[in-house]
Amino acid sequence: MSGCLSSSLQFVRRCGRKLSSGFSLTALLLAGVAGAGAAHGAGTVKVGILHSLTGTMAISETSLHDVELMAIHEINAKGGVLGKQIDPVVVNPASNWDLFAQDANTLIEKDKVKVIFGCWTSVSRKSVLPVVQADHGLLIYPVQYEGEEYSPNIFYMGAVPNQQLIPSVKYLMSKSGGKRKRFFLLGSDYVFPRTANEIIEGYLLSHGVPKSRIKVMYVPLGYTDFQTVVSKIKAFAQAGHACVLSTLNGSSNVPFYTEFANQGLTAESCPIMAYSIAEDELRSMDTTKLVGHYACWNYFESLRSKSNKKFVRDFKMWCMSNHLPGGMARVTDDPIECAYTGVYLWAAACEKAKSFAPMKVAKAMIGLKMMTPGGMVKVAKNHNLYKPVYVGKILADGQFRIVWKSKGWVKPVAFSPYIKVAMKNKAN
Amino acid sequence: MKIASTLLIVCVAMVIAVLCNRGQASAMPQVPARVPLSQVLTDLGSDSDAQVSAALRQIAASGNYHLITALQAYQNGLLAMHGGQLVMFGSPIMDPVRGKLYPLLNALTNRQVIAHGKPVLADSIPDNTLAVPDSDSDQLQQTINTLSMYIPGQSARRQAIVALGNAGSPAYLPPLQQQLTQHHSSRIHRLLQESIARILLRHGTPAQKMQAAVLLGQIHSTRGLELLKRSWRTLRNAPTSAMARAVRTSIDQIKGYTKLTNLLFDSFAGLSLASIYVLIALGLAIIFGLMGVINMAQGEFLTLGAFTTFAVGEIFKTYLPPSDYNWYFVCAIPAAFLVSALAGAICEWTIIRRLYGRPLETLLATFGLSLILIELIRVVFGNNNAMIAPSWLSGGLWIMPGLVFPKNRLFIIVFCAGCIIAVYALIRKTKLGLLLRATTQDREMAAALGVHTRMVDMLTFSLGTGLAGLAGCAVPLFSTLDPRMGQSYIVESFLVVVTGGVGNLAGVICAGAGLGFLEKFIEPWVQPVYGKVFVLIIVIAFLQWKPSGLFAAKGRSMDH
Amino acid sequence: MISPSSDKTSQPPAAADSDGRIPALPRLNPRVRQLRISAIIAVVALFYILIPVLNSVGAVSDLSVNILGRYLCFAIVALGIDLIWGYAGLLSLCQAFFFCLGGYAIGMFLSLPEGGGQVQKAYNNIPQFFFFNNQSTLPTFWKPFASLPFALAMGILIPAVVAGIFGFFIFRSRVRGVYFAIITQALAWAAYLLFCRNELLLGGTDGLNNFYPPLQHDHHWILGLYFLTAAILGLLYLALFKLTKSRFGRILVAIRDREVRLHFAGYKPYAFKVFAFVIAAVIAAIGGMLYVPQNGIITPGTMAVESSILMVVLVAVGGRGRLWGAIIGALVVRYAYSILSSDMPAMWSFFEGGLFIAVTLLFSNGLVGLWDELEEKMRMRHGGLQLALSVIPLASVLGFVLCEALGIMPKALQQTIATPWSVMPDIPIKFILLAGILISVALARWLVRFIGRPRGSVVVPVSHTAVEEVHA
Repeated sequence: MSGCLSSSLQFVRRCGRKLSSGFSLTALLLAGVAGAGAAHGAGTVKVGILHSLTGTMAISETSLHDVELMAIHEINAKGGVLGKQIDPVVVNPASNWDLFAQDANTLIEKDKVKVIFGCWTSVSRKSVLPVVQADHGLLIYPVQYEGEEYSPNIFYMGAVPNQQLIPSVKYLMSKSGGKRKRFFLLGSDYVFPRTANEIIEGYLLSHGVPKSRIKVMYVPLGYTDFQTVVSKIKAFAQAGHACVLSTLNGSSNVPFYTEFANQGLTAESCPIMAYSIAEDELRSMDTTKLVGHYACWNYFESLRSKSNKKFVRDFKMWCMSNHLPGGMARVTDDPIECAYTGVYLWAAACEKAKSFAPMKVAKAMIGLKMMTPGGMVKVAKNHNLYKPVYVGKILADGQFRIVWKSKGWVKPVAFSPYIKVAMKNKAN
Repeated sequence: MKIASTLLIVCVAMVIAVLCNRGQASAMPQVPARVPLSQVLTDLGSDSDAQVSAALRQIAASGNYHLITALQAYQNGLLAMHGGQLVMFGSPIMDPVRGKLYPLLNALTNRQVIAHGKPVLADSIPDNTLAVPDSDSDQLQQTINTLSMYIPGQSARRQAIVALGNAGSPAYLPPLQQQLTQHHSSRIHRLLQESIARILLRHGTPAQKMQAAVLLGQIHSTRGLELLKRSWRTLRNAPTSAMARAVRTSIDQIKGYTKLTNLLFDSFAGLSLASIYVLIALGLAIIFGLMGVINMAQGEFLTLGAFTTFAVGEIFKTYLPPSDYNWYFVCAIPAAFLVSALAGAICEWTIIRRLYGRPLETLLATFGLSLILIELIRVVFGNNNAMIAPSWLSGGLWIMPGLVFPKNRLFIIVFCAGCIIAVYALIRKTKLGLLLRATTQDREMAAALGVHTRMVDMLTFSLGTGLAGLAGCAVPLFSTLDPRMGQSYIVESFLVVVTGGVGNLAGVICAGAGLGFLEKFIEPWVQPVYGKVFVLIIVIAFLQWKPSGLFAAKGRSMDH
Repeated sequence: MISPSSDKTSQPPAAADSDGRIPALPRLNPRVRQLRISAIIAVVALFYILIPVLNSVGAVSDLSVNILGRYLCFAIVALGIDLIWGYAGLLSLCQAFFFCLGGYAIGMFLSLPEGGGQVQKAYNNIPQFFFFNNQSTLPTFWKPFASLPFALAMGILIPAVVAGIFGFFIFRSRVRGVYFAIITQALAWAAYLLFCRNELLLGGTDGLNNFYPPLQHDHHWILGLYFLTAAILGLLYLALFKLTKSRFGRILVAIRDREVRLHFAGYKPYAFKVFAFVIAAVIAAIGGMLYVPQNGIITPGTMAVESSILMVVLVAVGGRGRLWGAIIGALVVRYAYSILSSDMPAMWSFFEGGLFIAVTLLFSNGLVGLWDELEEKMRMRHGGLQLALSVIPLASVLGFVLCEALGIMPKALQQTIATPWSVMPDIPIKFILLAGILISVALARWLVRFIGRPRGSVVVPVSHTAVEEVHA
């Protein structure tokens, strides 16, 4: 200790003499300041793109990044927004939730972006939420989610539970869906499946399905050994009229469907209604094993509208001409369409508000109507979209055949009344 | 008791015989008058729901299973009127100029529609295909189910029979009973009995219900369990009645049987998981166990093998006729080994060689290597790729009622055994194995005797990574194919090697088997994660008892 | 800054005197001393005076200070890792787990209304995630966390107890070296899986968030937390510095270099190892406790296997066995991570992986090695060219990081150059410049060495001399 103390004392004594040299070293490091140039690009407006390009979520988020750049390119080619070209600032939070908040912060404060297009998982959105709220930024979130959230600074392009979960369950209980009576709710263990299953359970209970016919199960994210799980489903499905409502995420899906088929379960005996599988995910699966299973979304690539055909073609061409992996074989799906719509809606709102100021744009967004590849949408007061709902059946070529569609728009209800039902039932 | 059961069996047998006869009798008059089917099919396009319904009834009665394709197309909205005849849209073909094209098929004959000597192709499926009236969608499904029973293929027929049982409508009794007299395959016979009993238990007379309940118990029908339970609930007030007793006995019989099949399945699942662990740990056992190199990138060599398999599949798909596609997997096995081994040799030559004797630094360097390999694979192949398993590896092998062993898992067990034998043979019987053992046991002496130890190091390392490549061949059969797939196995395989005792293949095999079985036997009782946590606790407890693993090490010492 | 083992290369250490006291270090070469003192003053002035002042006048943004504050938390963890890895030779791959244990303790406090958590009345004034787990009231084990002292105490106590128990069983059964690394990795993995479960009522994969927003957005809070972190880092540095100089520190080094011999000398190495492991765990937890309020979210992702390895890399890059190396390494790597992931989003994994390989293969002594070389050259009175070859790489890396950290990178250097290869994105000029400097210096060094000039020696492990000292 004494040695340490004495040496510290010596430092202090010498401080006066050495201060100058110490500071000179610091100054050397700071020398770069002098060269700081003037801001460039007066004719551009900056927007942030916040998607994981590496790590576990890259498998889903890369496509959103691609389509957002395409939308920006298209808008720029048509003359930009309010006469300004859009300048995308791309960052890579690398599937790390801490980085999402930090990158959002950097985008808004340092890069001064007017809007952020980004996030996929709920946790990434929840970590960005306080940032955009504190910095008065704007986040356009492109994926279906569990609801139960409202922020003046976030617009949700994806479905809320009543635009995806409830219609699909209704369909399965209907005549054309096979009058399913037994429901196996299988999900990855995180907030979307947890909430989704609460809502589904609440809905089923309030529509006369007894508790004994509902089974809920969660597996960890990234889980791949489904032998035991599928044998449980098989036992459950033995009595007939069963179905699986799957909120499995990402890499768990391939092993689940493979095991499902290999243990002898079929789409006729026990169809799977998936909420996290779209055309892009089907690319990584052997679709011959999936034929006949369902998914419920607000958009499918197989929609026959003219605007969709153009969108699909443009996206494929974009991927090919930019040498993105997959090229012409790339597909569009609901989140991709939502991300695309998000960019256009923002541009339209800017034109309407005649300003890029995030809060003015947010105000202009409400009530905005637009024709999208998925159909006509309208921004609701609760920052979600009125949109159509489709149930699709998987075909052997990795596309969906639409077997049910809603009559017109479905109004978004972000706070589901069915959560309370499930809660009450569990309390009893 | 014995007499009673014998009597019961006799009773049941008689009842079945009677039922069958009746079934035949009642089925006979329903043989339809020959109306031209083309006419009937065209009725499907009718606007009147009643006419559609009548047409479906006639089709069901015809027993013509060739019409199923047309009916399914109808169900899927792929049926349309085209120039006065009923056509369906076949699965699309890719045209280099026009993109996706749908061939038009005649609904009755399932042949391509030809016009002007060329097959007719549609650019897209029009919006005006025939739609199934809501009121008829059930009947359509029933018709398809009934017709499916006549398909010569076993599995389609089985599914149809089960579907009829699930539907549980007495309308299905006649065709089922008629079938019962015709088929002699024991599996189908059992399914027919089961489906008939399930329908009767719901809709039959009290005596039929009683017999059905007894029968379901005897054939251990897990599909009937729910129905039996339901009837038990209604009978709870009179638990001593004969019906109640029969139902109770049957439930107990089925539950006992389910326990047996569950035990068998869990053992199988344990064995298959154990094989996967062993397969993945085998390469690591050589690299880590014999050479003392911590290879964090081992998982990525597995990924490399998996993507090689995928690439071979793609090559087959592109350059060879579809009939040969099934053989790609056979070619992919050596390819995966070679590619991974080569990559391993390059890594050893450039990186690992400079880090021998510094295991902790190796850990960091190989971790960096794994990051680079993941990104490299992502850049080359992209994120979403599907490896289609050859048809001989998909589906399941039926063992007994209620027990199916998936073929891919059976293959992995066999494949793993093969790999173990090959590695043993290589190490024990070949010159390379001898040199490898010599270098591992006493490097200086081996070098003094003229062994090119550097070369041996490189070969050993590439053998280890090559084995990872082999595992990579097998993993996508049951799991995903994505650039990060290797990461999910790395911790487990290290744990297997440490538990097994470094430097000993037998230890690795025992430890892999132990961990696999442990996890699969814990899992039915707890949620999946706790199984893994529990395994870790057991491993730590085990290391208290045997600090250097199951089998003591004889390898190159790792800690100085 | 003073480096604990820097001078053992030139003179063998004197034997301990009869009281067992460690003798004072031999007098430093005056040039080296001057160099060190300038460096210390520069660093202290920069972190404790210049940055706060620049922040107050608005030259450095709150965001930059907030990020720097968070990275200092990683520097704290790195100190702990350096203690057990650099000194005791135990490579623990579960430090992120301890980091998170501390983080979760403080995060629980911050999630509750008492800690400023953003709760809603519709959800009974408890964090929202409870509702998705069928909890309408606060679980019992959460209740005491409404008090800050309790949360702080638990944040230290729980990791200490976990590390103590785990360390006891592991070290008692003489699990060593790589085996220790693998077992700790398995622990981190199991803990990660466990914390991802929602039944644990700690928020599952989403972890804890919705804290008091001014913590990350208000100028005063940001600066306050930054000061607190910097102060604790300084205190911990001094404490660990003293510890490593003490008898205990010598024993740790002895364990690293020749454990068996220490054993024969009558010591029970495992008790020391457990103690060091506990200290490192507590330090990691302190880092976590400071990190979470500045970060605004804590998720199990932070304790995944990969993040523990990344924490070890902080020390590997900085240089093992030297406490200040850990701090510098932490800052440099964290900034590299952040800069590359925003400037070259798709390519940064290649850089990260390349960094790991380069550090282990080329600079096994890390940044500390470069500094040692500089000191050695000053002592040997080498010429200007030689000094420049050591100073330039250090100064350019640190200057680069600093400019980025304070947000003062010149705009001209931010411009990008398109690459001909389509898969490669555009590369900013600054990277090209930095790479150019480093490569040309490396070439020059190789040339100088090739000409045959004597080279500065590298650090030689103290090995058995430490054992003898301890034993004396």
